[in-house]
Amino acid sequence: MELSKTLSGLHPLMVHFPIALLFTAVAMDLYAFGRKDPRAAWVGQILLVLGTVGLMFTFITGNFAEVWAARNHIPQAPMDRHESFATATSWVFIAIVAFRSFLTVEHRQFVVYLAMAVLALGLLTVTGMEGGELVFKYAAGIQGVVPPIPATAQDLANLTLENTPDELDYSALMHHVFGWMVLLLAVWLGYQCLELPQVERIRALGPVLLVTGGIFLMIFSDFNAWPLSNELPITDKEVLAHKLIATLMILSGVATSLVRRRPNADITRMQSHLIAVLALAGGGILFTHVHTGAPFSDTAIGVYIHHFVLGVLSLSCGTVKLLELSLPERRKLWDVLWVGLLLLIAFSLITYNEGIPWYLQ
Amino acid sequence: MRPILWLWSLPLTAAPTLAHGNDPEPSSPEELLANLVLFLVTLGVAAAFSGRVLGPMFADASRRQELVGWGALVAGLMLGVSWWLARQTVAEAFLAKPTPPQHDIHFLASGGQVAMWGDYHAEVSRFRSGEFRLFVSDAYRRPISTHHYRATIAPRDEKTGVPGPPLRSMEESAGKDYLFALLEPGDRSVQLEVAVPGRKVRLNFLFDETAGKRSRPIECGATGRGALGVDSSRPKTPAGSGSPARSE
Repeated sequence: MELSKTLSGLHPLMVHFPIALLFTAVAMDLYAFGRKDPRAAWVGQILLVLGTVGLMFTFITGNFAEVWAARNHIPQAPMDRHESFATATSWVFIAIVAFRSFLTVEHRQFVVYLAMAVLALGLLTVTGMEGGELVFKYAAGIQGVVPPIPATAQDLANLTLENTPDELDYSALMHHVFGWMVLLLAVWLGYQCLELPQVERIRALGPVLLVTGGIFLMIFSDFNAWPLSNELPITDKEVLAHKLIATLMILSGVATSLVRRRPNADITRMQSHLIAVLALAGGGILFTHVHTGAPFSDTAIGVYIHHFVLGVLSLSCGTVKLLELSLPERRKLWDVLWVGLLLLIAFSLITYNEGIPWYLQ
Repeated sequence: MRPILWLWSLPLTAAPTLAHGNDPEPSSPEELLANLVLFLVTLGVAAAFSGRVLGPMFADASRRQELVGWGALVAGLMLGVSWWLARQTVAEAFLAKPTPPQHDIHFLASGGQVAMWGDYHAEVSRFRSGEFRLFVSDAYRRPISTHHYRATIAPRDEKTGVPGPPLRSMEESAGKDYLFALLEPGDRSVQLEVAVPGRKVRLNFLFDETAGKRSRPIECGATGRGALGVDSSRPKTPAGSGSPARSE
């Protein structure tokens, strides 16, 4: 619990990083485009990536801040508004980072990137304004002050919500199942790295695992959503995130299977690029993943801590793949790190528990 | 499928499914926008990257048929999920939002009397022993934990309605689902002052057994909610145990 309060207190500190870095990044890219300066463009790209990573960490600390603000009877509607704009901003910047990674300042599409970046800065500004309003109008995070605009009856009822034992057990089961799947993926990759016998045949199993896992997740992710029930719609944030991950897994499995059979082509760089972006997307989904069943309970706090750890591991996976692109001569090192990170993710999922993580109890 | 069939399906999908998690409030436009951005960006990025990786493969005429087949499968998946999300988003954004049935849900969950102010419901039940219990809930009758409100209770003169001493604070139940206080067995008319965030309200209740607003009998060892200090899902409270201390 103390860790969650510490992380929530970091939110006002963290917000400065994406605001400063992203505005500077776009300014550098505007200058680079105007002067056709590749060095300025390089700086702009670095700042853009750092700012977007900062945005992810700002979001997860914001999740904790939201829980503690709600518990202090700050109204939830303005916090939801701030969170919605933060979600949109985060994902637009993830798209921009991915798009920008293919561009140089001479590309014609650089103009499109700049237009998207300026729009994203507008979203970032609105997000910041909503956040500022939370503090100045609603007194969020101000200690020793009674909130000037009180929480509503619905807010208090949301604070009272607790997950049922069935919900918790089902969620833990799903995490464990996927932990074993990730472990199999790690073993599959390790088998290839070590170039053990029959490696070509074994290589075919990875995509099968991804597609099977995706189909399983699409069906069983939420027992109170399609296809098992019609209680929750796909617009429920939690259901949407799960179905999105399932779709990504199926797409990745099919694409990987097709690419694997591409004759006489070095697709390693493109695969690494793709996996780096997917890892960034996966980390982003984890960081912006919100649990809607009992959003302010102790269970929710524990889940956000789990997501923080898993999100960091996912971003680390993406970083390893980007390093593989930059320093391909150290391929073996990146392969070992990649497998090691997958093993850590598998371990985290297999030992996952709903609520405060076991390693903090 | 013909578009008209999808239009008819909108109310069917939207009506029971506007809830999100355990919060019955419909999604705001900002939340719907955030969902769409999240979805479009993620799949757009995946599709764009997949296209770049797979594109050169289509140049190989011998494999084109296989690739088209897989491509159709993937396109069908993405189109299906996108359409599902878009349809639900449109339904939520443009269909009339259901308002809480505030005047239809004054059912007696605990055998007491229900009052309402703003978005709050309060149900007060009385036992013949003189115990009064206060349950507060929101507009949808979802319970609110006693952690978030306080109340005091005083007996009222049945003829004049004037509250008199003793004024006492109601205490939290062990499960924090109601406040309770024990008055004299003859106290049937009470005034409660309930403090929720931002406001206080005074509520008057008269339990007149001859007029139908009945007190509940004392039930020892009974099952279910509302029985005197006993809940079948929890171990029985030993007789004579003290009231739970209120947490600050």
